[in-house]
Amino acid sequence: MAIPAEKFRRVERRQTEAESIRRPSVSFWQDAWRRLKKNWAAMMGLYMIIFLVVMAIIGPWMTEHNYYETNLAEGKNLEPSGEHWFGTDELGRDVFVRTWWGARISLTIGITAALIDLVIGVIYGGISGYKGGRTDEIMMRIVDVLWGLPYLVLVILLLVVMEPGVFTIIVALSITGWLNMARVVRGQVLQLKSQEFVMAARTLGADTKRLMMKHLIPNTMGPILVILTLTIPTAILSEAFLSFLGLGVQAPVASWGTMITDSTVVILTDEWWRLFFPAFFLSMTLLSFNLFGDGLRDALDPKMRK
Amino acid sequence: MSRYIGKRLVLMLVTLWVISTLTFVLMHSIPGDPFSSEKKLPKQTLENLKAKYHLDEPLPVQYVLYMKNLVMFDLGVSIKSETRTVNEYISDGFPVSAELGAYSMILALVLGIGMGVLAAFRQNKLADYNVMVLAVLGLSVPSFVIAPFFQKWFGGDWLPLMGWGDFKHAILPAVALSFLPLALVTRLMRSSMLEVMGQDYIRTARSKGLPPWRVITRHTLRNAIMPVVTIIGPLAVGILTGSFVIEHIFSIPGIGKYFVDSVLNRDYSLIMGITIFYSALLILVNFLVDLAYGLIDPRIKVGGKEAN
Repeated sequence: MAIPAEKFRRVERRQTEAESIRRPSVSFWQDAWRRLKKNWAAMMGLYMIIFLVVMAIIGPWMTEHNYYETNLAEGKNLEPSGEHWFGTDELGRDVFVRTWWGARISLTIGITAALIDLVIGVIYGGISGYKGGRTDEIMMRIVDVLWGLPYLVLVILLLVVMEPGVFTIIVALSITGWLNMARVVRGQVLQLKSQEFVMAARTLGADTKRLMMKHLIPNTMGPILVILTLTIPTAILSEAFLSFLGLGVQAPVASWGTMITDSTVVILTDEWWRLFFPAFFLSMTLLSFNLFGDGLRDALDPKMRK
Repeated sequence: MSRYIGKRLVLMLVTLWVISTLTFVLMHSIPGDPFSSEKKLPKQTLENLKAKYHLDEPLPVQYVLYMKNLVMFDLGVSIKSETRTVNEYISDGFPVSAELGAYSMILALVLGIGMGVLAAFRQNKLADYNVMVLAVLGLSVPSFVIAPFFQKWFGGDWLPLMGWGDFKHAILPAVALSFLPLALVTRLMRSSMLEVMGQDYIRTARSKGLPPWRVITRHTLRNAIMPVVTIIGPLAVGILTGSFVIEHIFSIPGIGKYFVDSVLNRDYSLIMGITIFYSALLILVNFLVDLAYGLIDPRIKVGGKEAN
């Protein structure tokens, strides 16, 4: 089948247009945010985190009750009502206020421990990966030795030695918590430092500090953020676990772990609200950080880029 | 290979030494001594007690003594019970904890691999979503939250609420204990299956006309199961620490319960003994897993230069 020549029209070639970039330039972080927004589960996690943070701040002030005020005369084990929204516990304390007070403690511990892990892990891993050779070998052997320890057993040992309380838990969790961060940062730095852009920067006269702060660490930001998000639920879970065993936050301060311990007797009685509310919000917190962290990992993983 | 094993054994011993020294220092850095919290004892009794446990000696002497006994696998006497040795506690509690842990591990591996494979084959379909929801819940709902609800819902005549005896006593705690490991195995198995299913060699196997089940069993599963072997170590840690709360909730006389009790009673020799025992156990598990991994995956040369 022949097509007559006049049917063809020559496309004018314009040099400038061919070179121009039509789409707006999208930075890595904008791209990641766009992918994250499309991820239904991750966004739900984010909204849940915002809800929990807001409630942790305003929750304890929403009623006139406080977390330690007891009412042994007539306020014991009351069902949820207009007066006590989540009911009361065996000492007549308001479960609503105690639940959100517990949220404050959990979130404080989770976020603080994760930030301390971040600082120690990034510095340690960064030095180890950047120096390489002998230093790296020794530093990673130390990590290997600590890695072989059962994390919670070590934390428990530290709690035996120190005064129980929120501060102690944060210290105990961060002494062993930074290992994962250090390993990942070291791996990333090791991989990045042999790449051309680092050599280029060095050729242009960048010193070690500049290389670290401007080139290596920012390029590791993705995995660091993901680990940071996933460290928070681990720390929160550890605190609840320790408090459940009676090693964490001490009475009368409310923590989800201690509230759950105090209410495990409900298997014999019917005061379901005492177990349900702390258990529900603890699980919701862990769930939201896990969902958000997973979504963040998918959004930041360059291999997932389409 | 033997050089690698030798190197690993040395590292294991060093780790164990670090741990036992660390525990010793930690336990002796506490102000006072194990008897200072006791009811007022006569001065002479107190001194006799201290002499009995060598607490009157200077710290370095105590350390050398402790290490000497440790090498002979003697972990000393429980300070609070006075008659039972730490070794007795461990030999009583370990079989119970090991049985419970083994059930949980098997449950997590078998169910987790099964669900992970199912989810991968039904990617983005209903079965996949269900499995993934279950896995995320397993990660988010702690075992000490699940356990009381289990007791409330299922506990009754034929599933005992607590205690330890025959197999039916193990069902509820084992299931509660396996939730977290199950979730981890499921997620890992699913992503590993998906990765393997996209590989060229699977396409090759299919295009040369192998029946689908053969592709799955001989090519996909065999490769996808590798990463699961590597997390057996972390799983063991999870089950071990999980046993602290589960044995506590279900009143099971295992080491986890002894450990928690010893911490709450400040029974220092028992705390030290169980910590060292746990560490040795985990170091051994990690070592065996690494060796097994080298045997299963011919691409990995154990002892070769680590690839980064």
